[in-house]
Amino acid sequence: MIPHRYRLMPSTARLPIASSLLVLITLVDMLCAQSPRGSVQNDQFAKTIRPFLKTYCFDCHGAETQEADLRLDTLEDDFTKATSASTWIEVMDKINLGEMPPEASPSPATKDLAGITHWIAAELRQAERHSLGHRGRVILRRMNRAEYTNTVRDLLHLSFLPGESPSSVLPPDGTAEGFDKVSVALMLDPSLLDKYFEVAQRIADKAIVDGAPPFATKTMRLEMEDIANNRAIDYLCATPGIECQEKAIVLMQGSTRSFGVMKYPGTRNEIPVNGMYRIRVRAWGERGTDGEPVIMRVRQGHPSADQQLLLETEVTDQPEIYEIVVPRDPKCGEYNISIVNQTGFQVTSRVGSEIRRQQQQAGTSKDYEKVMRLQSRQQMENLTWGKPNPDAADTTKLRKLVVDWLECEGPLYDQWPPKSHETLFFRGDNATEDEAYLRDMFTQFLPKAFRRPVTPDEIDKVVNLCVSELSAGESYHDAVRTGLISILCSPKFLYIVEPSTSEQNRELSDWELASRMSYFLWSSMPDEELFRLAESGELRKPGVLAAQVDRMLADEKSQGFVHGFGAQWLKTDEFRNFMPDANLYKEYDEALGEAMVGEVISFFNEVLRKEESALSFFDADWTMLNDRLASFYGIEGVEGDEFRRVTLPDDSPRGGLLAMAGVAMRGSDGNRTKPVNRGVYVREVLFNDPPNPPPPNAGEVEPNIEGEKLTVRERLIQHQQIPSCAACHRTIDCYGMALENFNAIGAWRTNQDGEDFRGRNTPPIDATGTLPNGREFNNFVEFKSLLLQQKDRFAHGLAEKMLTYALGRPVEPTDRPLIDRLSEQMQANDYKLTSLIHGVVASQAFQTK
Amino acid sequence: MPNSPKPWISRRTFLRGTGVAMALPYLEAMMPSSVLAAPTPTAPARMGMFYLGTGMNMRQFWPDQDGLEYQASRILKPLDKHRGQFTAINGTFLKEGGGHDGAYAFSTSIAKGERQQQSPDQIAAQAIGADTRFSSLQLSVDRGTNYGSQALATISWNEQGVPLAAENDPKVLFDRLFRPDTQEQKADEKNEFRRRKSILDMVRDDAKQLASKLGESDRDQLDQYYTSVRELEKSLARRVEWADTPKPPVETDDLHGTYEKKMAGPEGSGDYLYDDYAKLMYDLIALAFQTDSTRIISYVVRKELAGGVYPEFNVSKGYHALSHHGNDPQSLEELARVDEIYMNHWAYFLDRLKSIREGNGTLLDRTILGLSSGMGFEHSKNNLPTIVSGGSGLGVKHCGHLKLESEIPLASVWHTMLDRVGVDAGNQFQDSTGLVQALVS
Repeated sequence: MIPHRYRLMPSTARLPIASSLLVLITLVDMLCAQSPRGSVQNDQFAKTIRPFLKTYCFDCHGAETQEADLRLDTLEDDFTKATSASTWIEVMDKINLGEMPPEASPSPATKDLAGITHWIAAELRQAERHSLGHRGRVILRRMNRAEYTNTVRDLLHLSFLPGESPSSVLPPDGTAEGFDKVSVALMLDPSLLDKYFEVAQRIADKAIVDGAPPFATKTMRLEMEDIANNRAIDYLCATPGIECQEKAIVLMQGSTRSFGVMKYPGTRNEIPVNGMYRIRVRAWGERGTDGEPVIMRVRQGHPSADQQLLLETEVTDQPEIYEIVVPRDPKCGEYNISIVNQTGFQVTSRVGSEIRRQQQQAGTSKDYEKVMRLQSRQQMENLTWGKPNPDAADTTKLRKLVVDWLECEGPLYDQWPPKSHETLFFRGDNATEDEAYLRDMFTQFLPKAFRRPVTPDEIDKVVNLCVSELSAGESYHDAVRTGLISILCSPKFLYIVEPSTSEQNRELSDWELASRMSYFLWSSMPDEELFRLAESGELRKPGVLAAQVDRMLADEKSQGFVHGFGAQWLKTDEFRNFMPDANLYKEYDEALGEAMVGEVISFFNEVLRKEESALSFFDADWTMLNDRLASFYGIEGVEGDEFRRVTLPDDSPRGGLLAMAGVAMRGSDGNRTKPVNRGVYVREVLFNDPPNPPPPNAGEVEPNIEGEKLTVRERLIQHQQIPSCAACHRTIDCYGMALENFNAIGAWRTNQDGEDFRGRNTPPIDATGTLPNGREFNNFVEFKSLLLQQKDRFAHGLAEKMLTYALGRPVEPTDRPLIDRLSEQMQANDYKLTSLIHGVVASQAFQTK
Repeated sequence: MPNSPKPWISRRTFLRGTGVAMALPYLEAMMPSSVLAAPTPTAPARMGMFYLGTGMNMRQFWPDQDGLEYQASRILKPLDKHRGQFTAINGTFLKEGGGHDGAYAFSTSIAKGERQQQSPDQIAAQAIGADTRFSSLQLSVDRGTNYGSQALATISWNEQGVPLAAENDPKVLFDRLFRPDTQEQKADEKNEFRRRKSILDMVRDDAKQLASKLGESDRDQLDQYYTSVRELEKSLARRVEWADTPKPPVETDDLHGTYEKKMAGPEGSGDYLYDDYAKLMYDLIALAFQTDSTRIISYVVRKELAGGVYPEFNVSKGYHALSHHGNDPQSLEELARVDEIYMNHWAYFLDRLKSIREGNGTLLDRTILGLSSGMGFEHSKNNLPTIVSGGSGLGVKHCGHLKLESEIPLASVWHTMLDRVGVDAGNQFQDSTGLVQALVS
């Protein structure tokens, strides 16, 4: 299925690039004054569409007869009306399916048919966009859950442990126009408000504390030499490959454990409460004769497998302390330290295994006599699964991990009371807890929470609420918690409010502008500096706004933009919609799937931060890799889980978005590639130009009929023989065919693989094609260079996407001059994303309600 | 709303078990003889709507023969022991369905992207849900609403056309329905009611104040907030009213050490096994009906796009990928196998409802359940896998395989269900062409 998206109408007259802002404003005003539906469209209806219908349709669907209850002569060109719109859809579908006009009638040229269906699709888009938009106005919206989480983090200086963050408690948000920023999709229902209430309660409980921490920070330590004197685990010292020494334990094989030794005092658990903990190990290695460094692994028991590993690292030959600070929860169990590159003290005995196997077989066939015989032989000859490894006989030659001690310190607190507590109770412990303090507290806090100056009346309301709680017998802290909850549930906090009763557009206040900027670039509230500039009225001063954008992008909080805009623009959420067939693609695993997403996100991040040209999305001689993905791409020398910039070898087919495995996997159904789907992705993501939706029941690429071995390409070409299909597919398929060298999981291939194609003599991949503009390409590389010639189209598409995200509303025809200017500006600045961002923030649309 | 809620069964009734596959003793055995001597009150009518995303393998769904005496098809085979208690309706369509957007139109007949309307379960909740602790419950294999995505997690929409978030964690559901409050919780609850009420008062006031400063379109948007506050106030009033009525005592079998384990799930938790999860969710629905905690349920058993198969099914692909079978025999086979598994769970559910005696019949007799999908086969709008189960005590006549002469919209099925539980759906209900007459006795 192709999602509905909207784009600028092809019919929107291209306006000359305005050289000055003044002219622009005039143009915008002029356009605003126009009716949303241009007269060009009406003309087309009268000049071509209606005559066409008259010629081919009215005979059966006119005033006289209405076959299938369908009458077209009275059909209006008003697509905002549900009844006429749905009739138009039916007309479009029937034509696309090739069902209408019927064979016997005079048949129109394919070109004319395509003209009709394209007109209908374009009109539908415009109507739909019109219903979503409000003539360029930004409609009130609530924060999405990422914004909510970040805002609470910044407002109260709270950090959340995994699983406790509001973003994992609140339900996922809706999307429109491809982003979770648009008002129509950010709905609110009773259950969501109830969730806000629940989340606010949790936040209040965490932010405000009573007295000392429930669990003080303590250090639990296991000195490894104590194991020898611990009756529960002294067996370790007798285990082959483990040696207990006076000051340490030596591991040549296997692992040592903490058993019950490291429980938090007074509890039954190693970890008393959710929190951050520092785990430390003092250890060193003794290399064996082969000189390989020793690798140590520290784990902790936990019901979830992904919570078990604490650290895995090479150890030096000198004693050193290895440390990690991690979130832990009370489900954690005992610790375990092992040597990864251990020496086996036992090797499998083939004779022993064989006897076991025979025994089992005899048992199943109820030949107990044989079982007994085999058993006695086994005992006599001491035959077991394994036998001692002769190579391990001389332990001086073996690799050894020496562990001195293991320690856990926690729960760790940055400070106590936490910063969140001090944010509200700013006078400290000894302040008088009275009504005046309440008033002072919220006089400070409320403007930050509502992101604007507040009235004394608004403060009074919160104070009165707290006072009534006090008189109901609640503690002072609880009363303040109630006040905080009420603020976090208020529409003034939850919604990004830009009040305006007039239908006229107005300039945003500096406070509102500060919020637009921060939710655009940080997905969070403004910080002190933005507030200060808003208050002093300096935010709009020349140079200030631009400097703020630079500052904000440099701030770590701009990760909010990378994960908000970057991920949604590039559709990384959809990469793993189809699980690759486990039998066909054995190479694929979860870690690889995650790395595919990671590459694209970090690539966006790198382009943004290093001010690389956005054309890098078309082609680049570098990409972002971690070890898993690098090994999948066949690139050596990348170690570790984190993504880093890697210059691609000359012979690598990678480089650019379309060569990334995740994109290829998204455009596959787990068995075979889906070139049409990939083509749609290219048009939508790189050009914001999604093709018209397919007719209903448009088929899939079918698997081969028994005995036939057609490639996906050959099967698609069959489809293209049908004229009504060809009209659209000519402008889609080429973009996907060019990517045929990437198989269903994004591995490079030169011959067919996957479904039906195995072994030798598989047909070679044909990645040739012709773009709709007539330019031909012979392979993926040529394709990329042809795309690169469409820089202007790319810049427009990206500007549209960015504007949609920044404003939280669909792009409308009236935005066209702005889009032109933004893309011009970006092109003049080496296609830097930052120049586009600067352009958006500086635009009138961004600064207007 | 009545001043003191009068549940139709005695709150003292002791019910056992919510673990997977445990036996429920009949209610009567637990009732004092005085209750048995009194005329049996009529059990209330209940209704449930169930969504199985991504259609089914319809080539193996319909039997060759009509009526009750059919040779069971592969996918209907698991339901054989319940023949006479369900009708597979051959010939339903969703005008705005088909493809993966079908979940949107499923219960409302309104396409994705359009303003939605109140779904049948919510219409019923308004009409017959007032006397229970929960006017309705939304369950799902995924939580929240996923609004905007094709993988919609709910099929319930309120009066404003806002999707109602569903819950996927059996433990949360169990606690909400049955976990008795401790003394401390009760004391806290009183405080919470007060606090909640003052906060709601305040934010309602905030919303009012804000609305006066907004233009029309902004105000429309804020209206959702305002309505939500009103709804929460209503449900708070309901909670206050129910606060002194203890929750029905339901014991988990062998609670010792197993409660957590039994309540494992939802997907993504350590010991998740879909088979356990599916049965547990159906158990909870049965118990919720039995204890009259609610009379209306909606449940997204399988959503669109993602999920739908689990490791223990032992198939090579996701359900979505299988549904793009393109006539590959292996995929078709696996598709049918997965459908069978879901039908086995459905049979389990009917079993549970049948095992619970109510007056002269069973719980199933007074419960009408509709199950279907947003698409049929190969992403079609028609040929939906529609099955109506239960409700023979509500005037539903079952006819096994009902092959319709001409196709009807799915809305007609909801229309019929509403009618049978005594809810007037008005003159024109969605695009319904009237009741499914064959089902009406």
